[in-house]
Amino acid sequence: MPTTNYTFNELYGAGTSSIDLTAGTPYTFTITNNSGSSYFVMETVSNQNGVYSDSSPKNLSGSFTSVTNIATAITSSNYVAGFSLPASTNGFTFTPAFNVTGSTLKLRGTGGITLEISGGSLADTFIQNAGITSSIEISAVTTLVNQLESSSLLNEIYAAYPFIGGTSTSNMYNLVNPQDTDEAFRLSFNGGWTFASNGATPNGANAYADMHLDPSINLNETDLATWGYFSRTNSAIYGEYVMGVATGLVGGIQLIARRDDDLSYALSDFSSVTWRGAINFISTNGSGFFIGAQQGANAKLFKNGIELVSNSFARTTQVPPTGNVYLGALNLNGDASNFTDKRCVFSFVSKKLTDSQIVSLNNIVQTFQTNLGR
Amino acid sequence: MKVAILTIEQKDSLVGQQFTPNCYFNPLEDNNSDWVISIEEMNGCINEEFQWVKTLPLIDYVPKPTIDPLVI
Repeated sequence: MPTTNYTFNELYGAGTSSIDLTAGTPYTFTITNNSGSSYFVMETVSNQNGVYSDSSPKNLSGSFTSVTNIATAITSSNYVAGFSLPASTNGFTFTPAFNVTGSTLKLRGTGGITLEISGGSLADTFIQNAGITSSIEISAVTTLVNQLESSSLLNEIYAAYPFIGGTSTSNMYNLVNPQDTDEAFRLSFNGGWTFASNGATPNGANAYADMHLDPSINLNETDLATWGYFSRTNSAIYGEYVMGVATGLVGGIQLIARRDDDLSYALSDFSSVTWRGAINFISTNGSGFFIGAQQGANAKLFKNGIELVSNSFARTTQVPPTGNVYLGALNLNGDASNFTDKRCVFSFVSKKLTDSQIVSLNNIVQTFQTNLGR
Repeated sequence: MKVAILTIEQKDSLVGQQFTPNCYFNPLEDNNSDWVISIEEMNGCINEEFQWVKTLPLIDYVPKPTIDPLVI
C-alpha cells in the first residue's frame, strides 16, 4: 500500500500540500505526537478573498472512521477538519466524497507531530509523484500495475522502473514504492542520460543510474533474485554491462545484453554461502527484454520470455560483494565503468521468479510497451 | 563523440552537483588525463550556478581502455 510521510517541519506553520485523494478511496492518517497536547488540521485553500465560496472544492466532504486515540471529537466542515491530539499515536480513516487535488488542501500541525498517509492505488501514487500527465502513459502504467497485481507479481518486486514521462524526475521513481528516497530505491542519475517518451538512453561514456539497492543487504539466500533490462538498442560495445555491481572478480548481480563478441550474460553472486550462477549465451541482437534469474541451483538467462540458457555453478563460502546496483553501467569496486548506450524502456529487480512467472512478467511488460507505442 | 574539457578546479566544482533535477554531473578522466563531461550534461544544464559549462571547449573523446571484469 503506498504511503506518504510528512515531517514536523513540513507540517508546522503554513503547512504543506496534501497528496491527491481519490473519491471513495479510504486513506489512513497516522499521526505521531511525542509531545504534549498538539493539533492537526486539514484545511482547504481559501479563495483570494480569504473565504470559501460555492466554487471552493469541498475537500473534506466524506467520512471519518476508525478513529483512534483522538482526544476530542473531530471538528469538520466540507472545507476544514481539525483534531486535538493527545501524546500518543493517533489515527483515523478519511474517505473523500470527491476527488481532492493535493495542492488545494493544506496539512498543518503543531507540537512537533509527524504524519503518515497510506492508501489509494499504487498507480495513482506513482502517477502523482512522477508527475505523469499524458493520458496514454497514465492508462498504460495503470494497466501495468493492475496486471502485475492480478498476476501476483507486484509483491515480488523490489524495484521496477517504467521510464515514462520523459524527464529525469518522472524516470527516477520506483514503480512499487514511488517515494523520493534512497530507501525506496529511487534512481539517482549521473552523467549523460537522455530522457524522452521512448525511454531513457545512457550515452555509453559516463552515464549511469544508482539504484541504491545493495544485493549484500537487500537480497538474501532464501528469496534469491531476478533482474532485468529491456533494451531497445541493438548495439555491441566491448566490455559493456547494462546493469550490475562487482567487487573485483566477485559479482553481485550483473547483466549483459550484447557486447562486441555477441555475448549475453547474467550472474548472481550475493550469497555468503554457496550460490553463484554465471551463464552466457551468444546473442546477435541486443534489443529485447533480457532477464537474469537465480532460482536456486540453477541460474538462467531469458530474452523476451524465452529461456536462452541455464547453468549451475556453485562456489564455497566467500564474502559477497558490497555496493549498489547501477543501471547503464557496472558498479566496479565503487566506480561506474563498462558503460552501455542501450536505450532502456523497463528495468527491475525482484525476488526469485519461476519460469512461468518470468513469462508472465515479460508478457505484461511487452504489453506495456505496446500500449505506449514504443 | 565530442565532450567538454574541464580544468581540475572546474571538475572539483562539479562533483556531487546536479545539472538538472535528480541528475548529477559525472566528470570523467579520459585517456589523455583530461577531465571531461558529456554534451548531454553541458546542454542539459539548467542549474544557474553552472551555466558556464555551456561555454566549455569541445574535444574528441578518447576513452580509457575498458577493463573487462567478466569471469566465465
